[in-house]
Amino acid sequence: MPQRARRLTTPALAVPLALLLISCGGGPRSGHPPCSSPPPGVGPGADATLQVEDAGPDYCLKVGDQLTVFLRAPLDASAAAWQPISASDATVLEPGTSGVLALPRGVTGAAYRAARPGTVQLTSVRAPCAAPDAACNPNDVWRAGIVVRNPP
Amino acid sequence: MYRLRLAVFGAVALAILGVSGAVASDSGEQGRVQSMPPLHGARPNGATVTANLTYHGGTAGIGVETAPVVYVVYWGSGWASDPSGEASYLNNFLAGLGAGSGETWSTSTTQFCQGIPSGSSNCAGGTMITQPASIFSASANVWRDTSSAPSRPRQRDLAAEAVRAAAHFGNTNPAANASVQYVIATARGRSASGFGTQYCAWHSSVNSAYGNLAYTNLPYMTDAGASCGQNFVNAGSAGLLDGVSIVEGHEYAETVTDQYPSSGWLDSGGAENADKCAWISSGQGASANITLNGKAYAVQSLWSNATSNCVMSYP
Repeated sequence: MPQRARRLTTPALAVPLALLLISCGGGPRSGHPPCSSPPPGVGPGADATLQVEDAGPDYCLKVGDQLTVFLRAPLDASAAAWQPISASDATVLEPGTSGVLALPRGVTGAAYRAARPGTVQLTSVRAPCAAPDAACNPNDVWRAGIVVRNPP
Repeated sequence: MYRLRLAVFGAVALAILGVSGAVASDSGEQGRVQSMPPLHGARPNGATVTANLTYHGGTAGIGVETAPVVYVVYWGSGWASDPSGEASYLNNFLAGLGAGSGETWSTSTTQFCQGIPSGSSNCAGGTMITQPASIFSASANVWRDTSSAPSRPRQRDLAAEAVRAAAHFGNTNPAANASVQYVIATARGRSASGFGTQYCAWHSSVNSAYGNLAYTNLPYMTDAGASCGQNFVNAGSAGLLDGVSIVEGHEYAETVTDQYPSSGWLDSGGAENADKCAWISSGQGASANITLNGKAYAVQSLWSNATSNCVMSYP
């Protein structure tokens, strides 16, 4: 292979690798777990908002950010509402007192303030699932991770 | 040479990825589980919520509206179209609240007060909320602001409109706004993001040259249909506007008892007096009609510390 072609190959390989590293969020030098930007906030003072369709990934928050969560169930009588949302560590993600939103029917909500760096799992379930275990239908369990970092 | 450079680059990249993965897998914290009480209206219908409200200290001495007054701004030229008739219904509902009509729904707010220590629920020595004969006049307390309103107003837009409303109504000092709430009613199809799926309305406050102003973001309720209360109490055409009085009644009562959130009356989970009783369809505290000046209006119940449950009438 000519030398010219070799020189082009190295950056061609480096670019996807770099993109892979960038896609992992905080990146290796930050020492933080990977996370992605959350959807914009809804409601007074909210910096980020999660809904049912945002389940799965880990989202990044800065210390001091306000997070609201809205899990909506269909209004028909046969649909079960989402149960109160649990956070795995209330010292990282403190329960908020936003207490100002009138929620729509069928919506389970929560508000939090990112208090210190760390990682938290938010969880909720709906009937017939009583707890987020292996027996649950995946459609009846909602999970999202939150990675709280210090502001840059 | 090329193979060596590639091998070194790949090794470094893999090492970096490996470190990153190790950090991710080691960082999951297994702290205590915190169950977050649901926000307004999120609890299952009829569920019992027994925690009473406590006072949270107020803001500059003000935590409640001791003599409530409501002003409504119909914001934007979009109000030229009001196919559901929300404006007149809202005006009549608010004009009917107060001791003058004999209604005993909003009187539940009169068990709360300010001027007591934070964390207390005992109003001895405090200044009680009163129920004026009237809280609103459709002729004097309405501003039809036909200036351009954003199609998707943000919080700061709504707050700025509240400040303009204070100027419009001549409430230009803190004392004039100490017991006042401004309802910013947005026109059909011009609500802030999240309406109908994440909220039906919300209240907040803004610090201004005229003092702290309490205001409510009240979208065009029938745009959200049943999600925000349409036909929640009354069937058919009689229930088209149920959500207007249910949701505005909710925000009115909350602003009276928590004028500058969240320094008024809330429970340990951050819920206000209306949050704890939202969307109850049967049993104790179920939403129902009240009669104001001869007309029926659907409202939800409100939390009573005196009885530790949701009530439609007080005392």
